[in-house]
Amino acid sequence: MNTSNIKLAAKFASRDIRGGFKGFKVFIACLAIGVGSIALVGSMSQGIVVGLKNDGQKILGGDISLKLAHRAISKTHIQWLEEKGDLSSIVSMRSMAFSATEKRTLINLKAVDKAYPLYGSLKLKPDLPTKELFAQRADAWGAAVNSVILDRLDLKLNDYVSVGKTSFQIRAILEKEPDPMGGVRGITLGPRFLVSQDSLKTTGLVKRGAQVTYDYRLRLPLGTDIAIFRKNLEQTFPNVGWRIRDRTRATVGVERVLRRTTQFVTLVALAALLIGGVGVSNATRSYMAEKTNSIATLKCLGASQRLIFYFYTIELIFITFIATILGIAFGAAIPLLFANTLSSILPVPFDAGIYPKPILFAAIFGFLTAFSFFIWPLARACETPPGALFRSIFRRARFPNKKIIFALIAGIIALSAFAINTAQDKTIASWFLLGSSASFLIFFWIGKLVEWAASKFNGCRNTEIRLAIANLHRPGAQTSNIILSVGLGLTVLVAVLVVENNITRQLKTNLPERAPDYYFIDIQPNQVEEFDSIIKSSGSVDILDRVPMLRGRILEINGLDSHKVKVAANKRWVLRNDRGLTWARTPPMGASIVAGEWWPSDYDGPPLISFDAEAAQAMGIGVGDTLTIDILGRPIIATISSLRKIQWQNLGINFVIIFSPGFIEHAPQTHIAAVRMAKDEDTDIEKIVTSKFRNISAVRVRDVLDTLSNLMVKVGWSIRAAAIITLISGILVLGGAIAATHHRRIYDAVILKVLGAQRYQVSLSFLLEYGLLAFATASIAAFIGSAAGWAVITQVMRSDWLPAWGAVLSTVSCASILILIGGLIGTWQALGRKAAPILRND
Amino acid sequence: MILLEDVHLTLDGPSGVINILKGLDLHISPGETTSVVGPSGSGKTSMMMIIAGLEKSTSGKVEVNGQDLSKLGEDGLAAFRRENIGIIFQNFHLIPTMSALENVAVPAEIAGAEDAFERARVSLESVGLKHRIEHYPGQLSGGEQQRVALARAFSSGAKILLADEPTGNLDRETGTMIIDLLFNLSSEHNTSLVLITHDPQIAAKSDRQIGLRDGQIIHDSGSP
Repeated sequence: MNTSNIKLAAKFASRDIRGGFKGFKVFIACLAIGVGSIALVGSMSQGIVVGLKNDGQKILGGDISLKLAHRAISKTHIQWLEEKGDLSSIVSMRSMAFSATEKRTLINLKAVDKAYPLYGSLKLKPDLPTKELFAQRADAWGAAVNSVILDRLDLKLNDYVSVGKTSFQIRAILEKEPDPMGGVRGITLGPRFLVSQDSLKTTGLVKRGAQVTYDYRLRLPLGTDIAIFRKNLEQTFPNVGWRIRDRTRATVGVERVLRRTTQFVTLVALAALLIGGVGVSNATRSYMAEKTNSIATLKCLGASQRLIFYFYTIELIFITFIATILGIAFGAAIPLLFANTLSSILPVPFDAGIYPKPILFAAIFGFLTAFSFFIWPLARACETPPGALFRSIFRRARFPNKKIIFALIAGIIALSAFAINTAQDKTIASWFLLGSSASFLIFFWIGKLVEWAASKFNGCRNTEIRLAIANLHRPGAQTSNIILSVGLGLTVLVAVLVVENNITRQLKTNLPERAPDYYFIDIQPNQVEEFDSIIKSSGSVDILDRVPMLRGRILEINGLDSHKVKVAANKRWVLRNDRGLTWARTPPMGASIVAGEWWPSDYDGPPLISFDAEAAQAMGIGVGDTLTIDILGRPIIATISSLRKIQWQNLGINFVIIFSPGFIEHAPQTHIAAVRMAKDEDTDIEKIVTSKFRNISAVRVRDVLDTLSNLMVKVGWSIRAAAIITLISGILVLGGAIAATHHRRIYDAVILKVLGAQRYQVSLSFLLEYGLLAFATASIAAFIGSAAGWAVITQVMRSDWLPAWGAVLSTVSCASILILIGGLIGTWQALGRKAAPILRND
Repeated sequence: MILLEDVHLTLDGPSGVINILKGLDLHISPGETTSVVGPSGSGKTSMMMIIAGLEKSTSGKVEVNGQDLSKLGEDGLAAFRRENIGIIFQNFHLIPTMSALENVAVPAEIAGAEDAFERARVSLESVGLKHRIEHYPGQLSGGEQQRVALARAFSSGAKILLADEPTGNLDRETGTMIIDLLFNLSSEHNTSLVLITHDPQIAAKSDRQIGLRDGQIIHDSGSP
């Protein structure tokens, strides 16, 4: 590379650009929107990650948290922990709260000790000291509750509710907990009911096998090395079976969800950037077309091809820089400007700030996209032969040389590699890029096909129609550009809406047809018989499915630590934390055994397991392999004897692990029941069961679905917003394409008017032209977008497909009208121009 | 200085192969002024482009200032033009985003001359545009633009000047002024001038007149 060449090129570029950015508006807008979206998503995500990290101690409730299901830790453990720092314990479970008028609701009961909270503080209304809040007065203990409980039970402050055998007075509304893990995750079943551990003991709810979680939090002295302490703890008590978390990794689960959401929204934003790339390419082509004479002149004056290439490359890189700066300024500024609003809306801590990493990533995406899209039209323009200046001989620019083709391929590879490398799930990112490339090719060729078809159409005598169709294919027509850019944006929007529509409708309409109406949890073994008879005698229950339930965690797979086993991403949750499991003599209702055999109903041998076939495939195991499972702190080695295909979508009781009888039935356990009501029955089965058994909690499936549905709405908005940005990018490209043909349109309109065409005839031909374009683009986008949505629903989510014609039709209709309006606004000016000045100047 | 021997040029056009030049033989000496006349399509511009190295002949020998142009690649030809050739166009072809001074300085800048702007200033003075050096092409009249183009052609010290109907877009009075300036500067710099024109009065000012028709020389006042 010749530095004097580059210096001279930079000098020429600075002269060329000092006149302003005329001709680059679409270039800058397309790039800035894409870069801005990526920077915004990245900055928001990073703000949440930092917020979570900063609040790690508060969210965790301590520097170290030790969690166990079903059982408390021993005195030895407590003594050891108390020697190391300040200890606090939390006991939590789901239960039912009853008002004096026998109204009831599911609650998330949390019992705290006197040391709670170790970090942060409770926000109560009124702001009572905890001693006063929880104290026993007369025959009632004190509680602080989420305001939803007051609404559901139709109560006010200082009213009474009973939980289990105990009466509680609601003395405060719980406005904020320092450690709202359920809240951070976004899904909680039952609002919070905060009490003291002394009062919990009196409820009678904490029975053997009940679904109770014990959480021990430790505040360590300042300066304690967390990693060393954790290692020491693990070595001292290797087999307690508790789940250890420390403040540095307090929110691993939330961060995982956040990373996935970020990736999805980033990919949609990247789609917007790629569509903007089409605008960059068109704008470069238009700009360089104006520079043909300058290029040829410079060549005549002795400038080398290389010098000219450097000259315009430097200019375009400068424009890219300006667009990128605008984009990242937007993306970084929005979270800062709206920090307070975002903090109140988001269910997670949010720390607004300028984060270099997402900004840098957005800038790199911007540069790589701009380079990949401007290099080709730039190189083609630089091939303009100097002879183009001589009127009598004009020949087309030559095909760019191998170095340019290499640079283009390198740009595309670098962009793809960067997108894949920065993605959390590289497979999804790879598929996204593959899909984008395929869509680009499909839309490009469809555009060409429409142009070709229009060129072959000559059977119409109507002048307006003939003019409109001729406009679609004549030299310089923007047909394929508009179909490509608007079509891609619209396809993304249609696909997202179709997927969202399917999920929402399945949650609201399809699933409850087959799903149970209630789950009853924490049924004690000695209550089983009576529970079954109450349900059956109510006469309104269609199906009852009741199974025992325990909790356990897979420690080893074939003797190897489960953390060291490679598992496909979609099934890693099976190995994470404690999971529910059951045992059975006969296969569950509707079970489909796909490998091995179910054990005899009177089996009484060493522990066997029937395992989820998909999870087994993800872990690379099968019939005959062994799993070591920790149940209540005791490791049990069991052999897989069969694999089952589980239909999770029907919301029935499903377990990844089903044990054989012969051993497990002696472990402490409760039962869980799924109940489906007969159609048109409005018997209050919840009231009947919970009135009889105060320890049993009823979970209404409708409430669960509503919670999920609300979450979907929140997630849906962010995804829809990103998808709409892709359409905006497409419309910007449309604007650029219309602007590129503006002079031609004015000239055409003037000539037609000179030749006797009336204003309405010219308008009608433009209207028909954009109508045809809108119809072609919208139809293709509706088809491909629906196909992509179908693929996501049936192949990725493995769910049933519900056609969403209404959503598709309304989306493409709106988009068609937008194209039509955009086209007409662009050409309206052409209709009003007077002929004389234009003809005189031409 | 300029030597063409049996030069042929054949191009592929939309309606098939076109034989544009059919065996041209021409020798132009240093400092000689030559006018080329002929009807449209006779091959005048093509001949000029071949001399400038903007077009490669299909066959024949093209030697300019002792350099066989067929042996040069694209960048070699660009460097050759930079050092030897000045071109004046009918449509001026100034770079619209550069001032008059910058337009004139471009060839010297490309050649790496450190005094490019000094030379450009002198050159603009010589065409009477000292007061217009900071103006952009859009702010200049047609005659002024062509004078800037003249200054640009001479500023690089070209030994050969090729002018393609330089007065075609100007009124008669301005055209006459430009032609006088062109001939005076050529004489001053001892530059060989090849001038394409339709105007017999302008052609008559040259040392030599050549007539072209259908890709062949049909008249050469300089031939014995």
